Amino acid sequence: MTTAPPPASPQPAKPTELTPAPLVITRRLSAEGRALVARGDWVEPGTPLLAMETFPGRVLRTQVARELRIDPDQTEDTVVPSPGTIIQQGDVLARSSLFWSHRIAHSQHEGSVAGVSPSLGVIYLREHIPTQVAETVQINVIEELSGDKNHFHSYVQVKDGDKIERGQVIATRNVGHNYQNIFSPVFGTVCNVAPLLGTLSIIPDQVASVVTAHIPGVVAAVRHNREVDVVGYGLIFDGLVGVGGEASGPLVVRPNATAPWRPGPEDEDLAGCILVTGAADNDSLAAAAALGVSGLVAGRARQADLCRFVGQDIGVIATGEEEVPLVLVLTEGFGQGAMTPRLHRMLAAVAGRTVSLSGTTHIRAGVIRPRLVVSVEPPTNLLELAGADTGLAGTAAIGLVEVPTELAAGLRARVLRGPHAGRSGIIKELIDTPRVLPTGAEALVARLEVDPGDDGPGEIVLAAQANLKLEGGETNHG
Amino acid sequence: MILLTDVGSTTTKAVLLSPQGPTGAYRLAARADAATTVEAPDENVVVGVRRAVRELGRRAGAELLVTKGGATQLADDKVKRYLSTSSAGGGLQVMVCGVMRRLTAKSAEQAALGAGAIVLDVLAVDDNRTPLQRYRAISAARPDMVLVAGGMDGGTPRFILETCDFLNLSEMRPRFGHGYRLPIVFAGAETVRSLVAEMLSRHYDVLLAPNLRPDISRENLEPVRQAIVEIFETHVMKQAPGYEELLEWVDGAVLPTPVAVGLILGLLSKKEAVNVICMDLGGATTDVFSFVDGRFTRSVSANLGVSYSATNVMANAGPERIASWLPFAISEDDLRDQIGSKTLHPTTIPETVEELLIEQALATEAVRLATEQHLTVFQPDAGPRDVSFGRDQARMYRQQEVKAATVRDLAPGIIIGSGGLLASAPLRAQAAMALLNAVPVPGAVRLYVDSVFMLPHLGILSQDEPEMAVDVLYADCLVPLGTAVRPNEPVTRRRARADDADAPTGPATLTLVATGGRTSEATVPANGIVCMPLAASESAELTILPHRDVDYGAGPGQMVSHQVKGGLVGVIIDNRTDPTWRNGWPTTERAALVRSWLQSLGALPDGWTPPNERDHPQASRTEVDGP
Repeated sequence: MTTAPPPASPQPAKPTELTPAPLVITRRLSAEGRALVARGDWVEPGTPLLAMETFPGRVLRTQVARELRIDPDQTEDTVVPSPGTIIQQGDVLARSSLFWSHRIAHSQHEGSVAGVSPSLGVIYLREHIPTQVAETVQINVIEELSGDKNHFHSYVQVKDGDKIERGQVIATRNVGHNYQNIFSPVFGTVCNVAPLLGTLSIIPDQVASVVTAHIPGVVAAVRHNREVDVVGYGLIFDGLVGVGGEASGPLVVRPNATAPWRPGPEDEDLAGCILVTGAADNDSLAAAAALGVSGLVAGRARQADLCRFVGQDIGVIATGEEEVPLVLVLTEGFGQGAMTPRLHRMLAAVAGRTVSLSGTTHIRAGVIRPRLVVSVEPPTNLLELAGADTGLAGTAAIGLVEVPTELAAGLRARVLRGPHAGRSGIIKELIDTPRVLPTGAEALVARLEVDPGDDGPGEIVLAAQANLKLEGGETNHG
Repeated sequence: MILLTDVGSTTTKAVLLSPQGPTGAYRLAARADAATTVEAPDENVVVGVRRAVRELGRRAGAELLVTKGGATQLADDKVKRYLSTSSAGGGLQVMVCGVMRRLTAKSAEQAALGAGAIVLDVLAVDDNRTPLQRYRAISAARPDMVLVAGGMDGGTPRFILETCDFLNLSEMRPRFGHGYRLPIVFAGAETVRSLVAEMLSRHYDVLLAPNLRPDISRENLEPVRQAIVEIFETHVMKQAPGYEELLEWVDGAVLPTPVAVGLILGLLSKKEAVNVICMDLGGATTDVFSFVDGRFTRSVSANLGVSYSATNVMANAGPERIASWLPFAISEDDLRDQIGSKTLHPTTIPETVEELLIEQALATEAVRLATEQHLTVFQPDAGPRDVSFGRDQARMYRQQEVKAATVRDLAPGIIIGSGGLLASAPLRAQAAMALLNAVPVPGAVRLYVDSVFMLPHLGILSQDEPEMAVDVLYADCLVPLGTAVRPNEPVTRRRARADDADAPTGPATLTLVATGGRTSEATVPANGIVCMPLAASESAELTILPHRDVDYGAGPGQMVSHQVKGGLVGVIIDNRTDPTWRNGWPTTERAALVRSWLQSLGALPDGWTPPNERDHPQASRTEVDGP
């Protein structure tokens, strides 16, 4: 008797470009701090992962050998607190006992012992700066110095824009043979020097004392109170260039217009959102900032507008630290024009979800591109899935679809440069023998059937193969 | 056959030499290149080498690679020898820490630049940053090594110890390599050497070098330079992904690319008995090498290049300056978009003449800026040198700026342009124009391009086969463009400035008598350029009778003769003495002037017209064949 073969196991659905996958990101403090989470904790984009209470400041010196009246090379034997111990002003720093002579050196500063020089007889203390964000400090120079407003300029030792250190003399007045000084209470930047009022202000340096998760997910590892791995689940869309750090919020997708975005009646409630649009310019960015948009993803903007937005000419593209009102990411680059229709359709398909946007871009060896992460409800075995050797962990492509890297006939490509720049279409043929371009140079070219659009009718054009960028594995236009 | 490769920061270039002709002398048989594979997804330089060698074999009609035991290897029966150079990963990237910006920090920076390193940042107590900002700079950087200097011998450099403490706290990680500790060279005060070594050795590999600024008036940079080169060779290069595998392929050590170029330029300088400058224009960096009076200097201008660094060249030179070299009008926004796009898409190529001319204008400025930077590290001697400093006691720690060297001090007899944009310019005259514009050297100077990017390859070959390397250099590598002759800087009662409308200028009468007796005459207009044909195999005597205020070497208005050699472009007389032409954003009229220069040199394609003059705006599109 024959038995029917067992039914075939159902084949897993073929992944599409919108199939989510595990994502792993590493979050890091600039110095060792305190971990606020543990492995297995669920986190949201704004969840603090790591924190620093204090920040390393200046190194301050105490002439211990001289105070204790010992040889410099004996200094190490006299130190009381161990290296790294935080001590207060007045605490015992070093002690020497020689027969009946006992001497003690007290610390003149707060800090931790950073080093001892046996050749100089000096103990070095590392100052610790509180990392809490402080308000702008206003100093009434005339009042504090009991001075005369007419002499304000002679008192003040700094000017607008000066970077100053805590403890630095910012104003001084010579009274007889004595100097009265005003010391800066913070590390920061001088602003609003007002001679008529007799005041000046200092904007304290902002310290990134807390690192947040940026994406929703599970904590996979905590290392040295300094690094945390977060495993999320979703899709990553890579941009081309961005500025402004990180933001997260609900994704709002507007039409993929070639003209730069302008707010309409439907855009009243965009505060905290990540906005997707076709093109942007200076006015778009100003309007988005005014509406409280936290991030803007556009196809193109002019390089000059990006420089104006950042407030300076962008030389080396190593961004992410700019002080700008919102994160900006461009997906196609500089110039005038919209996003590729395919990318816009995919983003529209995930509109409404909470997304995480990073504008950090480094163009050199070790390239970092800006990213939009769309997080979805993860499976219960997310950590196991991320750690398994399935090739899924750390997937950075869009979904799980293998994106071809070599040009071939039948693939969709976009023209990056030349007379057909910005147009997309299907590669009909890769021509093996080099052709002479209008420049006079020879290059391998491809025959491309470009889509009809704003740039012109559908037609067959030639473009240099070096100027083509593949748009994924799908060959249809849908 | 001899296989030579150079693994560059963006491209791996392979060259094959084989015995040819009746004498069996080695000559270039084929060349090919492939993208350097130092980043994901390959992360192994040997992948790019294999691709380049495979393509090389295809072009040479020889199988250079074989598979043995599942592994790809070189075919021993075809490849007699394989040598390679490398600058993969963009070269050695160094973070420099000194004390005073204009004293020890500056000396340390010069030491690093002179060793061919790319300086990522320079930290100093007076760099107008707070300790927080310096700490963040340290934390964010990913250098290959750190150079710490500061403190005169006997001094107490608190700032250096603060910096060392920051370095400890940040636990910097190297760019490449896992499980290897970042090297730090300390070349500061003797009094704190042991303390610094102890502080840093927990997390880093510390090398101690002699104090590079032992006192305020003395510099001693050479030992530090040598230490940096040694670290590059023994630490950094080894960490480039796949480097260990590459070592198994090559016969001998992999030489850093700048070192190899220096070797071959030294041979050329000795053979021709002239000073030589070479500019290697890359996508991310531009290297400038000079062999002057027997002394070799190399500088690596980080972030000056024509693709990855295009926006940085624009930021440093200014879009106005780049636009000033264009023979057509363009808006600033359009220019910025084009150059910005090149940075975002660095491997794309220009398809229209306008795109090409923009890239060549960018190249001109990159070479100019890199040459200026080279002049800051160019030193006439290697040993400790005295530096001048201000006599004002209140400012005794400020160093008076040592008078910067000029291109004139290099006194080159030969200028070589290397790198894709110069070497593969569709018209050789375009490369000549870029070199003329970027490096305006007075007097007569011969111009060449390295047509096949072979200088590093010949450099490493010259270690064992110097004669063969020089032979191939002349036969296959250097393309003679000709000789360029320029007047001296204008000297008038008041020095010409950029806004000086009275700069001396005027036409000059030219007579060229070739060695075969052929004579030609021409007149170069005021502020113009003339090109007189002279073949590469010919020499000639050029006699110039200049305008009364213009000096071609014998005094204003005095007749002068130069011995000149020919080339693919010819003898170029560059009579542009009026600096005011560049003032303001280029107008259509100014563009027409630039166009006249390019046309004089033959640097524009036949029939090209500026976009605003065309009847059919789409005329420059790539022609469309039928489906």
